[in-house]
Amino acid sequence: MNLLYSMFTDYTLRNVAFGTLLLGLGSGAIGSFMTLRRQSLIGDAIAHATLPGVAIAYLLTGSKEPTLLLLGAAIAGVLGIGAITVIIRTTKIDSDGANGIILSIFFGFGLLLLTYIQKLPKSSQAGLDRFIFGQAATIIAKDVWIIAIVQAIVLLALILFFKELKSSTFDPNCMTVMGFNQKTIDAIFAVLLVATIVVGLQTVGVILISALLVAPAAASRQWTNSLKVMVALSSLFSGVSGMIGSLISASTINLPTGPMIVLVLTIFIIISFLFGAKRGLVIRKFEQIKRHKIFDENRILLALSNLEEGHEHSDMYHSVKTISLMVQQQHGIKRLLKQLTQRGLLLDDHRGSYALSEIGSEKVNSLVKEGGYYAN
Amino acid sequence: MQTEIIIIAILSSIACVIPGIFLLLKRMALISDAISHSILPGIVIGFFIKESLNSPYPIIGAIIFAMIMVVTTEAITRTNLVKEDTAIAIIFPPLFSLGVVLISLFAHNVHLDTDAVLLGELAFAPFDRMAIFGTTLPTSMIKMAIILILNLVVMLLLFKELKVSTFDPTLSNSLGFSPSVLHYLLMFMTSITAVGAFDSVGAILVLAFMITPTASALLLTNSLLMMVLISFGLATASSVGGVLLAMRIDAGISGSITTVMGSIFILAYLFSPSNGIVTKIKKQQEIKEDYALSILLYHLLNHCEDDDMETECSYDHLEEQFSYSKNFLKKIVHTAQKEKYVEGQNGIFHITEKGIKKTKKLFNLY
Repeated sequence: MNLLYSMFTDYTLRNVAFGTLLLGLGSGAIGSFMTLRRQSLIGDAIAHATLPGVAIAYLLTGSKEPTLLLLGAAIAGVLGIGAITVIIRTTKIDSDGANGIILSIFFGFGLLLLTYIQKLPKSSQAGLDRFIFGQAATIIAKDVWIIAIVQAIVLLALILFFKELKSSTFDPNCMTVMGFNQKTIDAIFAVLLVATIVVGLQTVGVILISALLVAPAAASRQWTNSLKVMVALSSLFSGVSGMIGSLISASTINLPTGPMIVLVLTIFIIISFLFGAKRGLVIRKFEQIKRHKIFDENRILLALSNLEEGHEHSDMYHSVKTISLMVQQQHGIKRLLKQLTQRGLLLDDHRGSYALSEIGSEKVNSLVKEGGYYAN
Repeated sequence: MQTEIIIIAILSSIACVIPGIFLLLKRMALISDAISHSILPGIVIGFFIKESLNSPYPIIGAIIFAMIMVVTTEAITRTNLVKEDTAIAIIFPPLFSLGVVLISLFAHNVHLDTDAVLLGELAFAPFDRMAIFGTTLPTSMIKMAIILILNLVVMLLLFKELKVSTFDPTLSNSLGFSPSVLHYLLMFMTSITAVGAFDSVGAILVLAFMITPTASALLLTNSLLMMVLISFGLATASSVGGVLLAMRIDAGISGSITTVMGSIFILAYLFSPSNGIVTKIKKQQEIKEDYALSILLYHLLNHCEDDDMETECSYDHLEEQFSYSKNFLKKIVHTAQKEKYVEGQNGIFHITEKGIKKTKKLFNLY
């Protein structure tokens, strides 16, 4: 509680918390599209590719003004994404390979420049290497404003181009037929992606920023099949994780912000994977058990009906042993028979034998019509 | 000392290239990046056991976490909740974060900081030595030599198997060697190499060492064996060049080696004799010119006995007819005249005997 209170009073904490919240809102939204376009790993590549931009911006201007450095990072990021596209399109190297090559070449070159700057007389790279790991504590109000403005533009662009992005994500051919230019949409998307990544570098760092894009999208996907809901949810997850993560890291000395945000996001992922309303593993298991039960019940009913047909004049009651032989299953069969009797589908002669009731026969007839074991 | 650094760089880069080749060809290059990030908590926990990076515990811890990463990724992919690339992208950040958190919580006073682990520093490698064969050698040199030999042995023994399972998993399965066993072997090889290389090369640049020389080689050849040899060559050249460059401008060695590797890749991309962009553009231009020449000859042959031959075969008419740019037409006509297919007088062209023969051959007119 104290922490929440100081979030509004403490200058640094307020900046960090709001900065990460805003960052999360934008990154979660654009990350959904990225993940659905099967480009999850491109975020990582772009993030790493921004490093030489930061270094060159510093070398050229000699200033550590964040806006300038971020601009350099953005240019490098756009170059990186362009290079990846060109490599995929013109060589036999696949997208994974292209991402890896651009990531490592750019990052390696950036590292060369950083270590070079470090040893230049009268300058230190302190302040530059925070882009690698991110240092949320160094965020000032101005940085929060930069994040806010950029993320507002990104969100606005996403809303404006929602239809185009949606169709280019799910059905590029349809979009081309409808007269939109795929390349233009891809370019707009790339610029938005680079912008989101670049403003996150200071807080979360090169290595972990991609998690802020992919993780909330992976979590929100488990709750819905609607793109709109997914984007909104993803944005929410990412924003909330950003804030919680940065608050936890602020509460303990030496806890880095970026990794804490990622760990909080991972909790969201685990919960979503297990309990996601649409696809979660627990729900899936429940449905599987339910389906198994229906399947077993139907088999018993059909078996009894078969037995009746085969022995027209004899007793219509059949022992548990016969039934379990027919359905080739022993485990839990008595329980199933009792349940079916309770629902009025079977008749029990209280001597361990069962027969189809009127309702049971009707059920069998409709089952046969609908196609057998799996019908509900 | 410089020699020692160069030797360590060469050993590391060749050791990295071996799994890199198969990862790149199997279209899973980025899994090496994910592995090299995921091993961090293993290294940190292993470090705490003996408070030293030189005990075997960090390596064991790293291998365990690499395997956790590989197995979890596959388990998640199998649930179909997310696609494989997303699965990779959500597994390694939390593992990496765990490592960073462990370091910052418990190890900020000891010799183990994130910079050193992630970015590596080859320049310090020669200071950490151990006695062997009556002399002392840098520990990382011995470590990388062992890993290189292991990788080489595995590759030489299983070259056929790796080749088949990389290019045709179904065939490999029907021939009796399971692609999934080979897959895990490759993952294991990648992990050990990443662990061995991380303190000299740095976790992030392990990826560069694995992929970049390999991708350059892929652009230069279509044969797997040649690819292996070329990537070894490129890795060696980049290591030597990179260390020398770093010494020259006084910068970090691993970044410098990666930059050299990157430059080689750009060169291969542009000038590869078989796949290079410049080569491709040149070839396209040649085809275009050949085509234009044959069309010109056909036109001239077609009209050489017509009544309006003088107008049809005039330069102005050709310009109008073909709608080529002026320079291009000039070039084509020049080639035709040089080859003596065409004779020109007062801006009117006649096709020669040689030209007729050539045209008939080109268009199968006999």
